[in-house]
Amino acid sequence: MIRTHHVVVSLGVVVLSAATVVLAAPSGGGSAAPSASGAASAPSARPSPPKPLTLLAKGDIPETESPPPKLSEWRSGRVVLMDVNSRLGECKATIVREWVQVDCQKDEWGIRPGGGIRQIAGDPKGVGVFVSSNDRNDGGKDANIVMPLRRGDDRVFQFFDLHMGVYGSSAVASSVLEERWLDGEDRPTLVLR
Amino acid sequence: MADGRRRRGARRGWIVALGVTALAAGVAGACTEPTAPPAPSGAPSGSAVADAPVSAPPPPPAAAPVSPVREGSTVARTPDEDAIFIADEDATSLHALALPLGRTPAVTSTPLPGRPASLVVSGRRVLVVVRQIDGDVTAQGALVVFERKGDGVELAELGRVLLPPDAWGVALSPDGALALVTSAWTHQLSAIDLGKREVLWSVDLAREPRGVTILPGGDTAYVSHLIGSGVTRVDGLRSEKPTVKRIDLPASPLRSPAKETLSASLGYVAVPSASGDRVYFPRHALGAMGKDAWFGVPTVDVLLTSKDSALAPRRRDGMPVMFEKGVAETMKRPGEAWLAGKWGAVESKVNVMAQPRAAALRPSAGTMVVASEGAGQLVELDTAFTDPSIAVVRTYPTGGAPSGVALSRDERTAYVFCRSTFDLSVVSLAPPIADVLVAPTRTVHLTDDPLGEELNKGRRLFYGQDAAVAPDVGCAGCHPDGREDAHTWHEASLVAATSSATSRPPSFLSGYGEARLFMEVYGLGVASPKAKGEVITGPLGVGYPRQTPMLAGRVSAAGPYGWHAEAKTIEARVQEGFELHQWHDNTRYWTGDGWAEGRTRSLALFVRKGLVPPPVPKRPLTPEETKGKQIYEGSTADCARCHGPEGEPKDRSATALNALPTMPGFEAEEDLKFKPPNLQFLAGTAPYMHDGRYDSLESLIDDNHDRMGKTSHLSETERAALIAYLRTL
Repeated sequence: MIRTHHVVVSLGVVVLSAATVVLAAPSGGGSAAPSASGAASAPSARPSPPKPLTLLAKGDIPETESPPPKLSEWRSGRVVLMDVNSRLGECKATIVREWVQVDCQKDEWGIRPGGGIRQIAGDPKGVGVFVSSNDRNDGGKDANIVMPLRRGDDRVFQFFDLHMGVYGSSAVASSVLEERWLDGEDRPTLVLR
Repeated sequence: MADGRRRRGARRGWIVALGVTALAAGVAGACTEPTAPPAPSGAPSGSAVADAPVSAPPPPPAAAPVSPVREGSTVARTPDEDAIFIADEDATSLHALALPLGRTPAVTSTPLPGRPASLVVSGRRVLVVVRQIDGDVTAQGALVVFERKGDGVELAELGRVLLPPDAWGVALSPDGALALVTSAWTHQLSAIDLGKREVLWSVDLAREPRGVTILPGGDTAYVSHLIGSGVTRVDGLRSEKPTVKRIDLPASPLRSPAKETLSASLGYVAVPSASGDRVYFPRHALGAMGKDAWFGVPTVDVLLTSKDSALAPRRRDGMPVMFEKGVAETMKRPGEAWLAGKWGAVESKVNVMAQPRAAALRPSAGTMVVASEGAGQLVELDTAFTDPSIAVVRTYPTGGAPSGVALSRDERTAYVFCRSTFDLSVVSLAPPIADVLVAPTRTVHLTDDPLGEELNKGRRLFYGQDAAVAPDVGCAGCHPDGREDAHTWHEASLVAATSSATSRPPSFLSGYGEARLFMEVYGLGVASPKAKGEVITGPLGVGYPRQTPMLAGRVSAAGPYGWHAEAKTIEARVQEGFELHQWHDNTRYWTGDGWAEGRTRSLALFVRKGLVPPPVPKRPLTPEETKGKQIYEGSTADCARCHGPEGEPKDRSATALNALPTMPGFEAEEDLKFKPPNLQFLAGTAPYMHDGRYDSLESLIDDNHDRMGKTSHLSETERAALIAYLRTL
C-alpha cells in the first residue's frame, strides 16, 4: 500500500540486511538535521556504521516543561525509532528534552513531497508545522512538525501531497502522524503511516 | 499498551523471516496457491539481526488453546488447525473442510435446524448459533452444540439450547464454560452454561445487539449494536443478575464535523485486544467527513475498557496548518478543495472498507483485518493508530460479500467466507513491513445459491458495490439484513450557487455538517421553495428528512413505492434508487444498454424473495392486545383505513398529513402527501415517522393530535392497548 513495486523488486537485498537498512535508515535521504552520532563524529576515510536507533524508553522524556529547543540543539538531538514508521528513509523523529521534531524529506524519486500538514486533534499549544515551497510549486520538499511530548497528549496530524494526474494536479491526503501519551503509559507513542 | 509493546517486537521479528517469504513470493508469487502455511517466524538469526535492537518474536504457543478465537464469526478454525467450519446462513448449512486444503478439497455440509448466524469452536466442539428454529411457532433461536467424530470433519449433534428469537452473535468465556449469545431482533443477551447446556439468564439490551466479546477476566462483556453509536457493557456474567450499562462511543471522532457527535451503524463485531484493555468496534460512521463521503465513512472505534471511553481524540477546528504553494493553489478550485484539506479531518478511502462486517486481530503484524462486505475484500489496518481505519496497510480481494474471517495460527493466512458467492476465500497475508507479492487469493466454492442464478445476481448487487447501482456502498450498507440503520438521511436536490458549479441530481447525504461541507466544496445551494430561482447557501436546512425504510418482509405489494407513492412498481423504485444512493452522476452506467433493466429485475426479485423477515412468534393475542386491535380497526381511531387490517396497507396511494414542525438541519417538506407505510414488524423499527422524530410508539401516539386517524380521545389504558397491538404486527 505504501511502497511501490520497485521496492518489491529490490526486496531481497533490503531483506538480507533488514535490521541495518530498515531500522537504521532514517539518516538517509538527504536529511537536513543529522543524527546525533553523525553530528558528533569527525569525517574519516571509512565512516563507521550508524548506531542502530532505538525506541523511546521509560525516563527518556523529562516530565518538566522547558522552552522549545534552538536549532543548534536539534542538530545534536537524539534520533529515535518511531513505534510505527512506514516512511522510513523519508521521515525521522529527533528528541531534545521533552520536545520532538518529525522531519520528512522528499525521497530520491520525489514521490513523497511534503505538500502540507494540518493538525487534526489534540492540544495545539507549542505545536509548529512547516512545509517548504519552491519555485516549481511541485509539492514542496520538506515537511516538519515540532511539538512537546507531555502526559495526556493525543495529537493527530494529516500530511498532504500534490498528486500530478492526467487532468492536472490535486491535493491528496498521504500520511497520518499520531503522538499520544496515555495515562498509565511510561512513555509517549509515535506512529506514522 | 502491553499488547502494543509485544507487538512491536513481533513486528520486527517478521523482518527476519521476510527474506525467505519475499524471495519465495517473488519466485513463486502469482502462480502458486497457498497450501500449508509456512512455519511461524522463528527467533532472529544472523549478525545483522543480532546487532539490531529488536526483541525476539513471541514463540508459537506450546499447546493449542481451547478456542483460537473466542468471538463468533461465520468462519472458525480448530485449535489444532486441522479443520475449518463455515456457518452458511443462506444455505442453512454448516460446511466443513479439512486443513491443509488439498488441490480439490472436499466440502462436508451438515444441515442445520435453522439459518446459522455465527459459530465458534471450543476444543473438539463446534457451537453454532441458529437465528430461528425452522417451523417453530415460537420462533426461538438456538445454540446447537456439535462434536467432531474421530479425526474427520463430520459432526454429531450433542444437543441444543433454545434462545430468544433471532439469535446472532456468540462469545466464549476464557475457560470455555460459559457462552454469551446475542439475539438481534429481540435485543437480548443470554448466558449459557455449556456444561449443563442451559440458559443462566437473559437480559434486555438496546436495539440490534450483534457482536459480543468476553474480556480475559471472564466477568465483563461488551456488545456491539447494528444501529446507534452506543455499545453495551455487561458485568457480573457469573452472577444471577448481571448489570447492564450503555456506553456512549461516538463514531469516528477524528472525522466529525464541528459540534456534531456522530451516530453509527453496522456494528456487527466487537474484537478485544489480548489483554482486554481495548475493544475494537469496526462499523460505519454516519455523517463523517471525507472526500465523497456522502454516506459517511467506515471506521474502527476503539474503546478503552479501563475508562469506557474512546481512544481516538476529537477533531478540532482552528489547528496549526501549513500548505506548500502548489497544494494551496489546487484547493482554491471548486471540487478540489476537498474536505480534509480545507476543513481538516483525517482522510480515508471511504469505499475501500465499505460495510465492515467481520474482523480479526493479527498481533504478529500489529494489524487487524476487516472483511468489507461492500468492497468484497479484506482490509488490513494498523492497530497502532487510535482509529485503525485511518491507517490502511493493504487490501486483499475476496469473493462477494465477505461475512466472516478466521486466521491461521501463524497469522499468514486468512480464511474468509463470502456470502454472495458462497466461496471460502483463502487469502495469503503479506508480511507487515512491505508490499511484498503474495500468492493470489484462492477460492473454494462451497455450494450454489439455493435461490438460483437470477436471485444470486440480486444478492450480489444487494451486498456489494456496483458501478451502476451504488458505486460506494451496497444496499446492505443502509439496509443491513434487509432491515434498516435507524438513520434519518438528508434527501437533497442541490443546485449550482456559482457559475462554475453544476447542479446535482437528488441524492442522500448522511449528516448535516457533512452536507454543508459538500455544498461549500462543490459550490452548491438549496433552491428556495418560497422564492423560485433563489439559491440559499446560508446556514439553513439541507434536504428532506428520510429515515431508512425496512425492506425485509415489507415489499411484497405490487406498488406504488417511494415516499410519495411516486414509483408505480418496486422495479421503478429500485431504479430511482440508483440515482438517489450515490453522490456522483452515474447515469451513464445505466442508460441505453440494458444494464439498468437487468439489475433492476434481479434486485427487485432479491429484496422480495431473498431477504428474510424478522421472526414473529405465532401466538394468540393477549386481552390487552385484543382491545388494541379493536381500537386499531375501529372507525374512530381509523388506523386500518390507511395502514391496512394487519399493518399492510391495501390502498398505498399518498395521503395528505398535517404539517409537522420542520426538523432541525432539514428543509421544510413541500409535499405533505405520503404513502402510508407498512407497519409490519413495527416493534423493532424505532424511531418512527418518515423523519424519525419519535423515539417510541408512546411518544408518537402522545404527539399525534389526530394528525393520523384519531387518537386524542383515547384514555391512557386505550393508548397502551393500541401500542401493545401495534407491537404484534
